[in-house]
Amino acid sequence: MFIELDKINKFFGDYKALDNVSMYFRSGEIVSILGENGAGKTTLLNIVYGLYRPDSGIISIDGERLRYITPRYSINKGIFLVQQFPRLIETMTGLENLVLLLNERREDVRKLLDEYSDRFKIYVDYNKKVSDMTLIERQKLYTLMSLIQNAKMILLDEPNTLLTNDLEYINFLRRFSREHEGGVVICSHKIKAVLDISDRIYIMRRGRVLKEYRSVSKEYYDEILDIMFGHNSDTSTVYKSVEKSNRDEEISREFSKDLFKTKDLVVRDDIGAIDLSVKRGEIVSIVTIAGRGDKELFNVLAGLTHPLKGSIVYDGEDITKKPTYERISRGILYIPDNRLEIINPRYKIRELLGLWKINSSGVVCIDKMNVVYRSLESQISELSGGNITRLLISIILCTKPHLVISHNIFNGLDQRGYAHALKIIRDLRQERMSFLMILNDYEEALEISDRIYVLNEEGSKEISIEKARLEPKILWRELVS
Amino acid sequence: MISIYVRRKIQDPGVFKMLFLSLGLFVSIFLIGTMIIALVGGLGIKELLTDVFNKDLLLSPILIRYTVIISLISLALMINVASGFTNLGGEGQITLGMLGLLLASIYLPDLSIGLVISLLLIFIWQMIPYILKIYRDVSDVLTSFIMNFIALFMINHIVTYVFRGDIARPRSPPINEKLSLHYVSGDNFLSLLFSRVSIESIVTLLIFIILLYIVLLRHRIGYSIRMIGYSVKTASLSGVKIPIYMIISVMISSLLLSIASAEMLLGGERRIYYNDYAKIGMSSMSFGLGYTALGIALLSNGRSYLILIYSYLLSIGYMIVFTSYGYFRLILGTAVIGLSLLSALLTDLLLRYEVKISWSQRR
Repeated sequence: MFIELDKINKFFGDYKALDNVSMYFRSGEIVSILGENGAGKTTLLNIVYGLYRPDSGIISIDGERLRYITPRYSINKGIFLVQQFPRLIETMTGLENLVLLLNERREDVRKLLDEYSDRFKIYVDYNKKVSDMTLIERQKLYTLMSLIQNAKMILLDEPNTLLTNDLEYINFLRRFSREHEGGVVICSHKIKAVLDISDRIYIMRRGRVLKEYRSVSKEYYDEILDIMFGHNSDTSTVYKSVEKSNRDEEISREFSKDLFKTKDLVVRDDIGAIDLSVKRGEIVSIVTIAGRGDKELFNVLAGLTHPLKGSIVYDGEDITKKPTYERISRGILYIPDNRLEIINPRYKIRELLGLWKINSSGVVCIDKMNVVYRSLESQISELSGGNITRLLISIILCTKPHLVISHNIFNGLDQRGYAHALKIIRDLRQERMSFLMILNDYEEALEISDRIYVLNEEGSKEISIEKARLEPKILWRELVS
Repeated sequence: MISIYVRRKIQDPGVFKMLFLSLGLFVSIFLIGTMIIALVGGLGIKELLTDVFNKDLLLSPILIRYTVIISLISLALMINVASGFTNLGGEGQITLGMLGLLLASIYLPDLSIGLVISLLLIFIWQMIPYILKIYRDVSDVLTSFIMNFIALFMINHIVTYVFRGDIARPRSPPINEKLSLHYVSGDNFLSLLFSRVSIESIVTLLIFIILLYIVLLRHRIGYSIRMIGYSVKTASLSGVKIPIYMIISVMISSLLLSIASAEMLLGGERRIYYNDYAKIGMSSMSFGLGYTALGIALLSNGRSYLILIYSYLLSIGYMIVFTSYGYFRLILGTAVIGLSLLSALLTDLLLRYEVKISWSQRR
């Protein structure tokens, strides 16, 4: 398969989302499109899949020149889009969703799923309800569905955690392109991860293609960073300040009491007890492999479901059976990995701020997080994934909770946004705010945490952060043990 | 090759644009329909329009009465819909409201006591399917629909065996005169228009159109209620006290429905009648107000000011149906109800979606 985009332009109102974009994708190749939040990556994928129509330009598919395509045409041609937030019916299981999407009998779909899982070595527990699945699991399920429908070209929109932490999926992508002669297009801002896997790379900024790399090497990292953001100095500055603040706070933390604690907490039958604690002004991470209890742990910590066993203590009080709103009113803020579980995309920004009782200071917080938006009357659905994450962090900034419990908090942030978020979180930590982060990306955990836990089938285990920073393999070994 | 491209617009259309387009669509559809009927030989168009619109006024007292009643029910169901509760039991709840007034009339004849009993009965009837939906994931559509039948059969049983006021036919005794609403009196223009609808209903309607517009679209209470409607999980994670906002929304809805039921009962024949339509297999229950009001509620999409205009358009249809003396009018009236909903639907579609139709675009 050969897809060529020739001088594609796309406007949203007065805003030019794509400016004369020309690219090509072909079978047997992994092509990545790198760019910061709002660079136009997702818009481009939506045009290739047929969700958007370009205002001008030509799309050629295997020589057929078209002004636009439709999703039905794409599917018939074997082009599939795995979205950042795959749209599935939450109240149904993964299997039931696929029965509906594929319009086949339940047993046939089950057989197909097992067969394709074995063939391509991607495994998802499809008997789980979608609402209990992590984003990674949803993306994997969508990938499997594409494969069942004879995918020839898979378009991946921001599969960031899959690329950085899911070896199974990375190997699948390599095999799919090399052994099965399939094409892969990845939209991401994770430069390191993309450099590891791609055959070719396009760099985009503000709707334009700035450079194409026809061969890929890890040495290009700094150069790519420069092209993507214009300069990279702020990123390294932030990292240095992070390290410094780590040392300053260490002594005072040793004497403070636990703010949050779990005792013998069991969230799933096949996962051991979770014992962890968070002190005031501390950033604690609990690293898991996606789908191995992370979602269940978040739900239990948020009070959305009850634990099978054990207790949760916050500020000296047992809150195991307290409803979510009561936990929030006591100063805990929750951020799930699927942003649509905390934000209604049809709300205006003004309405979201109103819901969180944020007054005029909201604009200051939003600006501090560099959220790109038209006005407070803009609908949240207008914002890109990265900007939604920035908006959520600005809610933390404004509401100043005592403890933030998050699941993959940095989802969707580009390099600059990530560095900025790190700085903000570090500043908040200085103000004695605590963070408990459930993360699937252990590199992120190593970068930001004061203390680190690993969650595997035996339960939680604290790992020395110093050792893990020196030898990250320790962490990985514990994760898969 | 024809291709239709529909995409949701990001920006919300303004109030006047919505009202203008909605009215324009309705009038044009209505005129075209009437012309076609007149051309194919339909009789009595002129008389019919005079009956409905009261000569040239466009606002006959009975049309205003229907508009107010449908608006009250639609507003009640709109807040249900906003909070995620698709209430298919509006009519059963109105009948229960009437039962509350009947009970007060028999035991404690006072209007405010009657309204409180109505409100409580409706509140209970709404809370059951809503709680089942939020906490047990049971379909609210199904349960509210079943509860509708239960209410109607129960009322039929009561007026037949428990509080029967007439030997000849099953119906309740007349409501005590102490339970009465207030009407505009005199010979002026206002009394000419509002002679068939109570001051209480008009005031309640106007207050709640403004109040619900502010509360649902501009206040934290509304944001919280709408967040429950979007997703219970999202509402929980946003710190919304779900039980409190469930009660608030159901309370407002029950209040509006109790006023509507008082208007229907006390402004009409003051008796509850055996409902012939409450038989399984019949196409509709009572006059179908609950379902059409739900249609309006869904299409108004949380904008209370739209309720008034959609209700007015629908009332024209209802008037033609209720004042019918032949199948022609019945068919025409039903067609007008359909047209009103169609114009509401088209307004919604044209204002909130970008529709492009193209021919042979592919090269």
